[in-house]
Amino acid sequence: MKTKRLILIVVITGAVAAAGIGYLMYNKPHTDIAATEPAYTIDAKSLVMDFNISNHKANEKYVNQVIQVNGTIVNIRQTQTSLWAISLYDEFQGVTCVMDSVYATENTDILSNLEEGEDIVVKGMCDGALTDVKLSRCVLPNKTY
Amino acid sequence: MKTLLFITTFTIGLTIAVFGQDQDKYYTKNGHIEFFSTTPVEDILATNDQVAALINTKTGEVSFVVLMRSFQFEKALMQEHFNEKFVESHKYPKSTFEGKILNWKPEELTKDKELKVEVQGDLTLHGVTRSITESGTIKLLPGNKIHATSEFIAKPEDYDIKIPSVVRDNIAKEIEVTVDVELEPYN
Repeated sequence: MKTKRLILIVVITGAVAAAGIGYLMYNKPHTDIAATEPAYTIDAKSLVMDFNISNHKANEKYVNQVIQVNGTIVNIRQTQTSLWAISLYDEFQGVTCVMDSVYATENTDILSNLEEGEDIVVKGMCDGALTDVKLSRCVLPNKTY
Repeated sequence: MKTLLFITTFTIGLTIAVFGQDQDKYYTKNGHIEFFSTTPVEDILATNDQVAALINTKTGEVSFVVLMRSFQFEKALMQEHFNEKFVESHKYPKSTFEGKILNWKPEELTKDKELKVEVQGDLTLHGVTRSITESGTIKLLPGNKIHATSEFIAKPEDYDIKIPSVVRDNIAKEIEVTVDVELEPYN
């Protein structure tokens, strides 16, 4: 009788723990870009070059990594879905950074004061490259409210 | 004199040849594509605002390229599963569409008139290319911009995307895809 109860307790505890872990995993948060140490710090031109030399190698190195990129703003705009997008180094073959929506909401003043020609540092998740290198969920590490 | 005339004609001709066609090209690097999966278990929405699109308003040719990694999900785990297990972004980082608007008459594209169109072309996803024909809209906006939209259904199984049985009930067999792009003249 005692053994049965013990087994029951163990089974229930196990099931609750498994459900709890499952729930936590299911709700696992996204990587906090602002709090993550960048895997690579590089200037926009060198990053573009790396992708031009070998897209395959650059993909393996940078994709799905938080990277920090410095470069000159060639274009800053709000996309059709009101997200902020900043292009560095070159309009077509540069680095396009789409800003994190939460960061952008909290730092609209900073973003709307940025100007073309200004040098900035952007940190974000590297998605890979089309004609330009794409960074998502970006923040400006040196400029926070 | 003849030489000068020849050079002038040649230069004008070359200018038209080089720049003339480009007046009909419109592009964006930050177009929007989203997809939605709905089942009794859960709804999943993913958005991509890094869509590269090009439309030639003279020929009716359209092309789209997206990085699968640029799709953003509400839940990190879903984004991870999507990239690593379903579309295998490491093997097939891009999805492309190359096509043409059917029965395209460029003169019909006039300001603020939304045209309903049929687009036919090749959609490549997860390394599988399929010929599709879908309906959409195209409109010339003030400021010489083009707004184009399309909504269609894509079935994961058509693109050899295998959904593990453990999450089979969480993901719809038919995924609703919405394309919404605003294009600017390509200088």
